[in-house]
Amino acid sequence: MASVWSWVKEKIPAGVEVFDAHAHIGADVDGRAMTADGMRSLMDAADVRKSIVFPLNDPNARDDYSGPNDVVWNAYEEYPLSFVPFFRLNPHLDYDTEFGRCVERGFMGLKLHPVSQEFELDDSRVVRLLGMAAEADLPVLIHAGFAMQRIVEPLLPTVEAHPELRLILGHAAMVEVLEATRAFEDHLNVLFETSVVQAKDLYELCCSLDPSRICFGSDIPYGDLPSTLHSILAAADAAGVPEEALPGILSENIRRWFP
Amino acid sequence: MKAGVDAAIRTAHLVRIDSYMDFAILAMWTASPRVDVMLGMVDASLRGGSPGGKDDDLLEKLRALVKEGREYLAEGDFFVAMGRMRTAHDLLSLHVIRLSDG
Repeated sequence: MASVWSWVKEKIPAGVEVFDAHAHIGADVDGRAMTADGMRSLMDAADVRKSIVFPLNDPNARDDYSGPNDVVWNAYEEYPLSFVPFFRLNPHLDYDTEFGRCVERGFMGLKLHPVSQEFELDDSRVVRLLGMAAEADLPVLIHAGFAMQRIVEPLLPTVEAHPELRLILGHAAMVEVLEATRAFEDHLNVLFETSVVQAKDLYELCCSLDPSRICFGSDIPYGDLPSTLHSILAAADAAGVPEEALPGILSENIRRWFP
Repeated sequence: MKAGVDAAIRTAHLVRIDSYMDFAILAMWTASPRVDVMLGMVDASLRGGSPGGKDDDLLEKLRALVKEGREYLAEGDFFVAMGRMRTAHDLLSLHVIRLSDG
């Protein structure tokens, strides 16, 4: 991996402060876990400056996800310059109180996971929640990766109804990546995040969408920083993305929302 | 070999390896009890030289990454092992894409 990592470090333009748009802190029902200190160590080792962090599919989540959300908030309070805290909700349950608590507290975004919480993106409760986020000017990161079977068709009407909604498509809508680039190309508030997506999918993304709409992510603890940085940089290289677009992909595109 | 045949057999050889990597990575994600067998198949598919020797540098990189991945997995470090396998898979698929572009 040493030669690959050397290539990655050479590809990252000088002065770019890498921003990871997708990482987790807490514990998951599948046994994976990450602490704030562990996350900071990984960021330091890879010279990543800032990360969006949110809970995993936590086995200790109460109905409203408040416990795991508090873990993320505590991490943010400990390392405010390193983390951008997002909270997580279960749209099946009564989410209004926890939504209000987290917005009031200062969380900077919302994470939704249609696979773990078993919902469709056109479920009326989800559509309502996305409308609430748009009204609160709160960015939303939606898992649009492994195990997803419907992405563009159920999501597009909500994006069209709320053009102000700032949306991050986690894992770049990988199973529908080409269809997603076509559907959301003119919706400038939709970003495609690249974590744990195969380089061949990212190649198609980079060939089909303006690089200003792409942002790097790791999905720690499911991905790691060296391999996920390699994926997007190698795919961008193969797709002929100009070098001057790399700072945007690695940092500036998402940093526009979280300066 | 004629130029067209040369590109075709190089692609065929690499696409074969790509399939075995798919099997192995899926086996890792799903914690299959046969994961070590699947990784052994990847190792086997990487043995020997490439057709005409034109992709030997790539195969050497892949062998090293897969070897590291197997070692990390054996030590219980899934996180790093998967990173090695994903990087090997990415290098391979982008190489095939470039090959298709002449």
